[in-house]
Amino acid sequence: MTTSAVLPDVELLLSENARLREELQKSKTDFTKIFEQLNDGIWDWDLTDNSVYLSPRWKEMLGYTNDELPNEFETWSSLIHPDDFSLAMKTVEDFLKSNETFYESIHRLKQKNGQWTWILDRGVAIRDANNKPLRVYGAHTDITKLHTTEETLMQRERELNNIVSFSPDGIVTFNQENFISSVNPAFLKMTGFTHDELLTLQKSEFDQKMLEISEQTQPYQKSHLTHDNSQLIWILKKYLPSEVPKVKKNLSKFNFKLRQQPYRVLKMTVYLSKDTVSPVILYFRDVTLETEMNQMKNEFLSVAAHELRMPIASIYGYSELLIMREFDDMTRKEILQAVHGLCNSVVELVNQLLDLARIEAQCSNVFEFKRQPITKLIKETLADFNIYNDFRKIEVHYFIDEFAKIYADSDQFKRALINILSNAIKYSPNGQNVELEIRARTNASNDKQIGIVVKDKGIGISTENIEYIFDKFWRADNVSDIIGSGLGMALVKEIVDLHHGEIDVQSTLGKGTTVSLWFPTSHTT
Amino acid sequence: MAKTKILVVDDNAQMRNLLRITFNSYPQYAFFQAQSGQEAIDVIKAEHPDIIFLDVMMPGELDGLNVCEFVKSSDEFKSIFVALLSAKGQKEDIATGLKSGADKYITKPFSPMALLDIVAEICAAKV
Repeated sequence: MTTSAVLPDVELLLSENARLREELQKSKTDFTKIFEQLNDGIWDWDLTDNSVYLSPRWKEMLGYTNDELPNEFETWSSLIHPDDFSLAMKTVEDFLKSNETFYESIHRLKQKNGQWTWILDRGVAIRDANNKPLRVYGAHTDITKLHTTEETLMQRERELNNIVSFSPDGIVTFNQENFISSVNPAFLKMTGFTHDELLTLQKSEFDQKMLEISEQTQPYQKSHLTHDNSQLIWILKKYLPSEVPKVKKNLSKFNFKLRQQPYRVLKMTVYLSKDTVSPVILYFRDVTLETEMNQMKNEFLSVAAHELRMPIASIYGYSELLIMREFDDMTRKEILQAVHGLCNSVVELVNQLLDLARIEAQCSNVFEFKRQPITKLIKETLADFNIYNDFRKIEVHYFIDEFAKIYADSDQFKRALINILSNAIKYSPNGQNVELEIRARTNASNDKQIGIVVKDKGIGISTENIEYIFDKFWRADNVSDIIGSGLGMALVKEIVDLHHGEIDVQSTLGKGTTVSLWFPTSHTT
Repeated sequence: MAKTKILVVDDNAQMRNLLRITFNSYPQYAFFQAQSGQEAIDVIKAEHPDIIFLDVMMPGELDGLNVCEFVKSSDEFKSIFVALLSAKGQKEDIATGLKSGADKYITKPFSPMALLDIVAEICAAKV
């Protein structure tokens, strides 16, 4: 009795087995019918004898006719994409060992023409009482199209994310419920907000925040939220993480730098769409630089016009006096000399304006940069200079090898040197000598440079004034009656910048000034 | 009769020189000049001029408008005739100039002969 209880009842087992087979056959038929209608390929693997059935549709999906592929397990395994192979096999093996009834796997199978088909493979197992799988059957669905679409979408999303994150323009989007749905790093940078403080905000709260950080005279206007509408917003720089430049004391008549406003100018454009994902998109562009440049250009023009009008006003007055009144010879000569000098200064001003404009336009074809011996350039410049000036005033000292070369445009180099030499002479009304030294050095970034150092013992520039000397039209307050346009040093600076050189100015009021222009010895990029 | 004191304030040497020549040959005028706002105030205090020709844009701490405001807000000096000389001729520039209390706003270039007429008129009115 004990034995019979342990030993399996063979009869029973056999009949159970037969019943299971019958059931399986029935369910397989049902299953096949259903899935063939859904255009899926059917497979059926009998593990008891390792026989495999692959439906004609299964093979057709890969471009084969029914008799081109044998019905065996290896037909499937040999067609799996190498990258998917191990995972696909493991899924099946794990499934067989488990007690699950259902599995799913996605892998690529090779088509007859060599292309790959993405397959969604779903299988069901029939197991015996010990969970040993007797039969596994399932269906292949061709998901190539779906997969490609998904892949494209994912790639598109990544692309969009990259564009939005790296965009120099600020972008804020709102969802249908009027909550902020995204802000990009550029927007945070231009407003000083943090990601966390914005992400839970409603539109009205966002409007309030924008209003708080904007300038009163040019505030953020939420009422202007209609499609394609732009507005300029001035964001006060005190709210921004970047440091506010220190406002300089106004020492000069025209100080362009002082006009730099303590706010950042943003141009906001609104995009409204019927799209349900982001019906409102706010687009912010930082136009601070453009605004300031425009302002500077306007001021430059009006100052240039003013500077031209000044000598002309004097010429006008002097000539009227000459016409209307009688003067003794001395006075008449004095007036004519004044008029002559004024005409010279107008010519100088116009020439320098043109030089500046030419350099600022940076038409590279105008310049001819090349390595050339500095001594030759110096000699030529001095020869030009001596036509107008007393050459004995300039002492030249070379501290370099006479074949040393610099990388420069010869016309611009001469123009810069003439400017600093004539300044040195002009601002030494006591008639003291001017020294010109040619030196070599290696600068802080280890580049070899050759410098022209012009030393005078003239009126000098005060410490407070030195920082303004490169400003256009700026003139020091101790120039008294010395004629000048205030453009010379601005021009010199442009020329040295063009050469990627350096300028060094040292001066003591009443003692003299030393200006050094350093040029590279070779082409640097 | 005391000479009419004329003060010319301009940072531009040629402008000062032009006005000096304009008024120089008339013995009834005494000519003074200053090249900055601060210097102008020193001359005003020392000389108490009758007429000031004042440039508006000048470098330094005080510009022409500041000097004009100083003159017109002082009981001692407000009777001085102040004519602003400026290269700026826009409506709003003139309005700002006159708001500072100036008696006249003259744009550059100006006619030196017209300045002589203005001075003669003021002198005539005083007599």
